Amino acid sequence: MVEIMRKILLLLALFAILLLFSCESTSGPRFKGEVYSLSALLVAGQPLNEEHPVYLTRSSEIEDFNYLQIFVTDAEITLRDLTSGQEFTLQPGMAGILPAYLDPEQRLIEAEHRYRIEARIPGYQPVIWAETTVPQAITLETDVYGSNPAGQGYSFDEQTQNQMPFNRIDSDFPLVLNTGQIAGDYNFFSEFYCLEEFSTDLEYTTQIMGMVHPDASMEETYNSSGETIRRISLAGRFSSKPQQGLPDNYIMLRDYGQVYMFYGRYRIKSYILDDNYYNYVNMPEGYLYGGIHNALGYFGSASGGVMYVTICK
Amino acid sequence: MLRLTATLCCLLLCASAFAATVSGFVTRSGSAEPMQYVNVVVAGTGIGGQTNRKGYYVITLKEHGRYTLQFSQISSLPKSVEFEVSDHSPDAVVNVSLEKSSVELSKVVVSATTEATYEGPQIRTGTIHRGSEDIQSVVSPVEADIFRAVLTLPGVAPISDFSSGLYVRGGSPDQNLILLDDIDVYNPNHFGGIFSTFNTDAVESVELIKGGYPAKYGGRMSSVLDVLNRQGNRVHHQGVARWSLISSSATLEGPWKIGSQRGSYMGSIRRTYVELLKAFYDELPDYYFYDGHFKLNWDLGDMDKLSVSTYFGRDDLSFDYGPVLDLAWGNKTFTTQWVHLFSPRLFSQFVLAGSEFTNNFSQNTKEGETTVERKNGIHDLTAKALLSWKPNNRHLLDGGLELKWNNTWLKMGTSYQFQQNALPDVKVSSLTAAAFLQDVWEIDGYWTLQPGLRANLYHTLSVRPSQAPDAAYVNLEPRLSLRRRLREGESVYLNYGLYHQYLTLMSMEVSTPLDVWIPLDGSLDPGLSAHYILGYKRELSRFFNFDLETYYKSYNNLLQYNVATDFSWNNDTGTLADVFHVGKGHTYGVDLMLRNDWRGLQGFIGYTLSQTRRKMEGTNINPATGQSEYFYPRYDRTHAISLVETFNVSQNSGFQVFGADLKLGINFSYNTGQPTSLPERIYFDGEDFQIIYSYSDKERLPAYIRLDLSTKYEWITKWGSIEPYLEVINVFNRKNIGSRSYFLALEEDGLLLKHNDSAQFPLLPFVGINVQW
Repeated sequence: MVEIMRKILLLLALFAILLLFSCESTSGPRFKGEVYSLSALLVAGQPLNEEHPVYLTRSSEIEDFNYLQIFVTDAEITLRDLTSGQEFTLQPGMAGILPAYLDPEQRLIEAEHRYRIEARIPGYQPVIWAETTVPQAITLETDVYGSNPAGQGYSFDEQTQNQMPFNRIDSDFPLVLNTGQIAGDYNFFSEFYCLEEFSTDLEYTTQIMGMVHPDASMEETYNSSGETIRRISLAGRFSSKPQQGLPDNYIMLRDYGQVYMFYGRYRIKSYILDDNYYNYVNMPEGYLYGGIHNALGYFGSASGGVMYVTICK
Repeated sequence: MLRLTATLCCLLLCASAFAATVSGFVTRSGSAEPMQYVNVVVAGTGIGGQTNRKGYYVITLKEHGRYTLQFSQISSLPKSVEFEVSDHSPDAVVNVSLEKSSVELSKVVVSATTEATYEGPQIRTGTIHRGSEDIQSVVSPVEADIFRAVLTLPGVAPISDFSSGLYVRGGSPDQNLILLDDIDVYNPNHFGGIFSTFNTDAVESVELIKGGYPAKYGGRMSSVLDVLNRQGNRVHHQGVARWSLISSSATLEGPWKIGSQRGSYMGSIRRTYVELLKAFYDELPDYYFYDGHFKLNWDLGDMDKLSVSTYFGRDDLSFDYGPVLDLAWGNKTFTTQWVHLFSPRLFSQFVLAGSEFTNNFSQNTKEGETTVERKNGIHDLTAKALLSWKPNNRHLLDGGLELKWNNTWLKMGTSYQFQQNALPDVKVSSLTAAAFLQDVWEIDGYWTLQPGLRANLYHTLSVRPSQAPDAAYVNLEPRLSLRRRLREGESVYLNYGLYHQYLTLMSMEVSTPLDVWIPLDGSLDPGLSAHYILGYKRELSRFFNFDLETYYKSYNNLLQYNVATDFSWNNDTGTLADVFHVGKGHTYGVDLMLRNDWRGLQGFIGYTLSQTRRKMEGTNINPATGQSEYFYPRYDRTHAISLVETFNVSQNSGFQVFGADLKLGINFSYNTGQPTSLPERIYFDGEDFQIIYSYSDKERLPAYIRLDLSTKYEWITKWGSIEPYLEVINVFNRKNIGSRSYFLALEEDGLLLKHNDSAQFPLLPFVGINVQW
């Protein structure tokens, strides 16, 4: 027995040595110093204004993060239309309360033109650059069949009072993008964003596991960035086709009502996208695949628009 | 080739020089089911052997005369039998049955296989053998489960309480060869990972080979889990029924006899009834599963045994979240086996078996129209011929042929205007032929050499999309083990082996029943792994055994499904290479296991110290170089400690509760927290502040710690036993974290970084009752 005890002690000593010399392994830092990020979405037919600004941010250690200080305001950013040869410089300005870069001339972004953006930041050596080709012009249809009852259906007016009964969305209120005479495959993207502020009085459109209202603990999640129960996105390769009784080619989305998780006001962005922005929204760590060189983020382009509606019972 | 021929000739000559043999089957008393790995020794000669997985043994003898055979296995009463070999009857047959040492003879025992610790002639590297009773004794949620029991073993990492995927020594679940009665089982999980596919009452034994597996096995890179169905009681009819809050099962078995023909049968069925609880709580998901194991054995004679077994299981889930999501998946297998003794020295096994896994899901509108549909499945048809030849006591030659046909399909459809060409429409069928040869050469009383070679031929038979290239691979896999016995019950061994894999799994990060198995097309090279193992075994005393293994595994041509290619398939130009990240990796570590069977306290303490790293193209990108970096995958666990013990209080102290035997069980687990990414930077994306993440292994989640306890009260009656039980999972109610996601929240103090943790099992009590008769 003594021998056994000795052996067990020996083993315990061996364990102790193993434990001592084996720390739990993790990787080192991925980023060193300041990390720059460019965010710019060119929308066909729209200027780079407060609605569609360009943001340039700088971020270092996350512990030192101050969101008011991450915006870079002293960069020189130029946008070149490679199709027409036109080049212009964006000016620092404000988009709401946030510093951004805008085109004071309000030049419209041309569909099917190729653009190149370059950003030069004092003290940062490489030029940040990217290129994109703007998709063809398309239009959003709020009432493609002309059959919506008065006061119902999507509207382009942010202040609209239009409503859509939840149980009729799938059948009566398709989401429609008109691609005109061109049929084909497109990078499709729609974002459904609930404009209601969080409240435990918000009501789910579909009760899962008996839940009628969100509880207070969900407020942070509701208000957080990224994909949440408040913001639901759809992205994929869709085909635009002729539709019976309609003159053009359309991407028509039916049976999608589940994207509206709450009753209330919604904002719907619906676009066809270039590959840069499609990769940005579709891939894990999309900020690595948004087409930007020497920085993170995206330089994408889109064609489409924004609609509003209130989901009701 | 000349050398091989010469060696075989020598072996034949040796075989004819020593003509006498003693052979037979060892069975369990009370059920006459075969007993695996029973130590068989000819007293006074130093000659011995061990039963194989069918309970068969053979020993050659140098001289004629009277001998005594001694049979022993831990937890069984040893037995001695005299026999004689002579010129007239040189081949003695000694069939024996062994009684379990620690059970009352009057009690009906449904199963009683214990772990074999005797080292037989074969070098069983990285192998842990668990019998049905071992598995039943591990405290598991709801009911005993094979995978949950395997997950407690050193070298096997759990990924989550809700996944029964086995991550064995740095290998992912798709790299485990999971066999049920010699046929592959694909995605053997029920919903939620709480239940594995196999019903423990129907299972005879489970053998986990964590690496360095013998030439008989192939087709996977990491490990083998070889599950055998029970044959059924050949002596009398018996059964067991189990009831828990969410499932019930029943098993029946017994002998059969028609005229002069006889054999045994076993049938076991199980079903959950969560959906019935909807009557009380309407919001539960509409879900159930059922499964069944059936086996029929026919003893054709002393030299022939035939068995047919089948397994089927099905999960059905319907979930209403506006539209209705219907999912259904399941396995079916069949195996026919013919065991034939050409002679006492030449044992053979011929197998014809098939397996099917299907998983289908659809999303339907309230009106019943299907908006999204996916159909997927794999077929497997396998024929095997396995020969085991023991020309003398120094050599045991195993050889065989295996032919496997696989067919996989994956097809998606939708009423949405998805680009039809981007939806997968894949069908791949393949043929894998393999031949193997292995010798166990006991050089002397100390040294054993186990060389083996497996040759694989893999060829695709058809591939859709048709432009994807065909695959044709021929690979040789040398296997080599060397053991040095130091003294009785103590040995040290080395192992090396090469392993290829021709099937891959399209899987999200955690294995689910919706994972898709696909044979490789010509755009991808087969996975390749090399195993190096150094092991040490020691019987510390009658009550304690100690195993230690250090290992290194390299992995090449690893495949990881690229989730970004979802719905981006191109049926015109696509190949499988388009949807996988290809990479490499390695793992190394040490597994220690201390087994005990001391005064009624049975179980083990296991410890693993390991490190696993992988590098997959297109993942874990270094933003400065654009290149992938090595990372510790989610299942890397630096330290893992497990304590699994059972204690029969009544049997060892006489203490009873209202006349019932009291049994206690404990299961304690400690695992290093899993690697995860961490926010490193922040940017503004035009809409919100967003997080820029570190490498995928910047941080470790808090350690996983769980203590489970169980008490069982067994009343023995005239007709059997009744055993109610209470189990408490996660006694400390520790909030173990499955995964962590971060988000930014704008509050009065500014923008704050917060996180959500996915929960695992909280404190959960379970009650149930087992009835045996």
